[in-house]
Amino acid sequence: MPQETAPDFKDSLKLIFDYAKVRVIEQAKSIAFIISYLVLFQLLILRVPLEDALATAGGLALVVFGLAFFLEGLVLGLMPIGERVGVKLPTKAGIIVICLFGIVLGFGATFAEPAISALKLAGSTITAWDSPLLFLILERYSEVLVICVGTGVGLAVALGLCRFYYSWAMKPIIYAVLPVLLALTLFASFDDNLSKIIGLAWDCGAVTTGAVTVPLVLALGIGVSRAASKGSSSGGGFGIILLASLFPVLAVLLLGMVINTHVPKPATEKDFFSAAGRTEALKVFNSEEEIVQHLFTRGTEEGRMAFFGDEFSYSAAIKSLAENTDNRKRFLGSFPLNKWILNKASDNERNLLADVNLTENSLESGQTIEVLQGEAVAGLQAVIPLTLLLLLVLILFLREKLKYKDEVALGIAFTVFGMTLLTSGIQLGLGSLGNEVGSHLPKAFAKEEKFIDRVVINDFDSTLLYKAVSVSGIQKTFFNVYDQIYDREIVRPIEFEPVRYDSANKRYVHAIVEQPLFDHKYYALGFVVVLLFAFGMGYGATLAEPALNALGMTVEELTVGALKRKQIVQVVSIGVAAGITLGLSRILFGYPLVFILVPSYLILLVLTYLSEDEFSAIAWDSGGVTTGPVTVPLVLAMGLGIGNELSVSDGFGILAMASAFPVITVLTFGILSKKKQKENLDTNSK
Amino acid sequence: MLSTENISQASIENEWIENFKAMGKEFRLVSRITCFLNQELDETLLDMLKQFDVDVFVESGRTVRLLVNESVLAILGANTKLQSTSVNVYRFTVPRDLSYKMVKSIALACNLELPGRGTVFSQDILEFSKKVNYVDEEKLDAFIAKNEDSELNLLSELSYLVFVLSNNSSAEKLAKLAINLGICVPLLTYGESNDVRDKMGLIRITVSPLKELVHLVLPEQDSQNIISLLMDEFQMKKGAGAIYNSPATSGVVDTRMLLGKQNSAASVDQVIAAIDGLKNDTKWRKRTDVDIKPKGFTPILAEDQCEIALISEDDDVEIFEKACKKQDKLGIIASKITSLGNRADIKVSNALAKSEISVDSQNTVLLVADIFNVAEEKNKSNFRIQILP
Repeated sequence: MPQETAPDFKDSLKLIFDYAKVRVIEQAKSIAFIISYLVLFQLLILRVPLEDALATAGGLALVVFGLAFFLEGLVLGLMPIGERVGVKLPTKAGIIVICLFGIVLGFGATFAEPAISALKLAGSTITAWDSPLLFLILERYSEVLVICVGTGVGLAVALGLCRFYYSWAMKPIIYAVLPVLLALTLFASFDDNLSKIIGLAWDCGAVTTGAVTVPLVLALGIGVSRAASKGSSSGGGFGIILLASLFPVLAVLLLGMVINTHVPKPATEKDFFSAAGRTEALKVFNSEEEIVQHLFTRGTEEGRMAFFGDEFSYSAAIKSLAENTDNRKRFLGSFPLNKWILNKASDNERNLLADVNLTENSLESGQTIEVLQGEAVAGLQAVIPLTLLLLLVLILFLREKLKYKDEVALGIAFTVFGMTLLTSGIQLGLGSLGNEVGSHLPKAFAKEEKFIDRVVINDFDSTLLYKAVSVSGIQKTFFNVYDQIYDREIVRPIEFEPVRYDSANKRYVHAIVEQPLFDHKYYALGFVVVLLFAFGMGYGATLAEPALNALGMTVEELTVGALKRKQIVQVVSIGVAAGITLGLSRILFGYPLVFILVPSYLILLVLTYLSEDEFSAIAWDSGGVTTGPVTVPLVLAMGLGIGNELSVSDGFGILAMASAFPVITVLTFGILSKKKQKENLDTNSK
Repeated sequence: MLSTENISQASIENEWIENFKAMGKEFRLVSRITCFLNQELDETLLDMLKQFDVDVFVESGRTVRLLVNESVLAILGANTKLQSTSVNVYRFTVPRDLSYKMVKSIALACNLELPGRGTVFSQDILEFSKKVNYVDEEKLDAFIAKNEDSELNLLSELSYLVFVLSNNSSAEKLAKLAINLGICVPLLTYGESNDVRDKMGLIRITVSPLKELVHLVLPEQDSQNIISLLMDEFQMKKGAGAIYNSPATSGVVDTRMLLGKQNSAASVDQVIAAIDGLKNDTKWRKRTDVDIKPKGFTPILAEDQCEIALISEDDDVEIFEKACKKQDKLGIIASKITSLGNRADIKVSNALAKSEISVDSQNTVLLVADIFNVAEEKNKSNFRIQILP
């Protein structure tokens, strides 16, 4: 037998280069679709140039390297630890200890990868008068919400481990839990307040299982399943993520029901902010200062008029935003005034604040470092506590050791580093690209032009006005302005609007507006464009989801390649795309979430009944892993852009549908594949 | 490494028996039954095995067949693609004298004379284990008697080929070649090999431990030529992997390699299965009297080899690695398996590993002795050693 020796330095470099090249190319391919899609959509459909393309490209490079490091880190470090603990736990601990461990792990995972920031962002358009319960849960009881969700995930992990320990089938658990959730959802839909938290509850289920938790829990489940299995099962180890997606829904709905007992009913904005409604409003807010900040940051002119009581006080308060720093802070908090004027103020209020400079500062280079630092802390927080918990259990409690300690340590470092690069890259590259497209998306279905900036022309000389006539004989008044672009002077005619001219001060305020994509007769076409965009975005973002790729790798390994990672990822991506499209249609057309949620899950119950138990667990877990660090920011950017335009109460429900539909597509894929295989074999086997 | 068995199996065995007796370790002459079926038949098999007190080990795998669909445009010819099906590979041992009856009972219970339902075969081995598998011969006889109308005849003089491929995702290519050569329905499994990686320090992360294993069962007289043909077609290069060839005493081989629309009363697979059954062997399938030699790379031919397998808990692969290290042997392939034990409590893990190595038959006794020595040092005794001459 020939003896192998360690490779020399040159060979080592070649090995490392080949190893890195394969992984980086693979991840570049996985994000190629979403990037091309976003860029082409913005340039060709929305016809808006890319802002700061270089910074975005840098961010995207971080995403590619981040994904490569992160996935490699999972394979080298986290998943082997998880599986080892899983294999050893049942032989050295009783079921009570296993359950306790599951609860601690699930609870810890929720705190390590907090989804609350994503949920708060999705709920950033919520108004206290329209959805007081939802507002309270997200703003005042957010810590209680995290504890409830954590408890739900903890119990789910514990139940999942029990299932492996006792070799329980997955389907009966689904049949037991899902109808309860659907019944509670239906019950909640009949209450004015509770109906508003249905989206939050189901979205909580979708986002709680993060990119680190999923592979860890999967590996742990596979370990316990192998050690405790009574029969062979290629689907062994799956099902915990499914439970971790369902139990938080139950926890949030129950929390809502408890809090709802002392929450005021929804009211109109005017009633809520009027002096008569102050007592009710103070049940939602801690102080009047919080009320006034909410009024300015999420309310409209109607609410502000009602709050200040008379025209004079109202105008004085608005003008004081520019003149009085204390008042600005009191009314707006940390919300920038220029952003408020651009996005929240009415035309009347903009006129009152005509002197304020609206130029926004773009992201400065120093902020890149800040982003990296912040994400490094978040990465450490997501990876280290869970890893330490597992290592402590493995070394101190189970008295086991790891064979490749150096490899595992390198894997953990890769995971943290990869997570940092990935989430920073998403913020700086993919996210900013998504935000750009998301913010311009509403113009696809807008009926009117949108105010985006203004130019104040002082010493306006009205003698420069001139008239022009159209072929139909309509006359309009114009004036010319010239801009200097590099060394060229360009003259442009602008239509003169008398309401914008202050003759006393000789000042003309020219509003810069964004035209709708379609003529107002065809604005409905814009909805089709937006829905098509949502489909493509959902599909592309899911292809790059790290947790889904980790699940795909696990499925491929457990089925020895009978189910390929690429197949799983493709089928799930189509499901997510369909789910996001349907979820977005709810926001666009404003129908209740329960109309699509309940039928979707009823279909799932039927499909689950028709599927094999092992495949059901894989399919349901696929639904739980889809909404991760790549998809969520893009969905939120899109939801917020559209939500602001349509003034919808919240953007919840998209992620819930993005979790449900992949299960439908994966179960359907499984049923069809099995049927086809059976037909092929049955032609002469029976 | 290509292994053939030119030396009489019986004489090697006799020599070992003397040596093992001298070691004072208890061993048995048994047959290892390997079985992979259409998953819908797993329950039938497991129901049958429940009647006996045997430890069954299960490994995940997949079988690959070629799906032939007629193209919409006939001019383009037929579309072919590989179709994979998940299978569980069951392995257990029975006393040698009962192996034929056990294989026949399984084949009868699962109706394996119909192509497409699965493969079962037995191999004679020596086994060291604390647990003695007990099979009630009367039950087997009763079962066979109940199916006396069946025309099922087992094949004899089979070869079991295992290709261990270092290059991931090349197994499907090899499986397709095997199907195109009409060998049998290939079984694909995964294994891990770490001993070369372990010498590389942390740089080992650049080399995947994962190996793809392609398992083929075919007529013994054709095995050498088939190996040569496959190596040529597959363009197997130096370092691409290893091929192990071992004898199988009896079995039923799944020959349903093609799927799709059937245009005749019986498929070629059915005709082959029927002739195999009528002739009771596969000698009629011999393709050529000429010995085919690989045209390209000439493999290192290692004759007089035997397979040593350790079935143990996941961690105890270390015992095997240490013992092999003492003998300066490389090339352990470990596969994850689980036990279908009827456990009352879970203090014994079902997460097991089957680690195998091919060694010179002269070194077998020394290696087995080393395994026992290392196991004693580590205070481990819950394992099985299987030796296939």
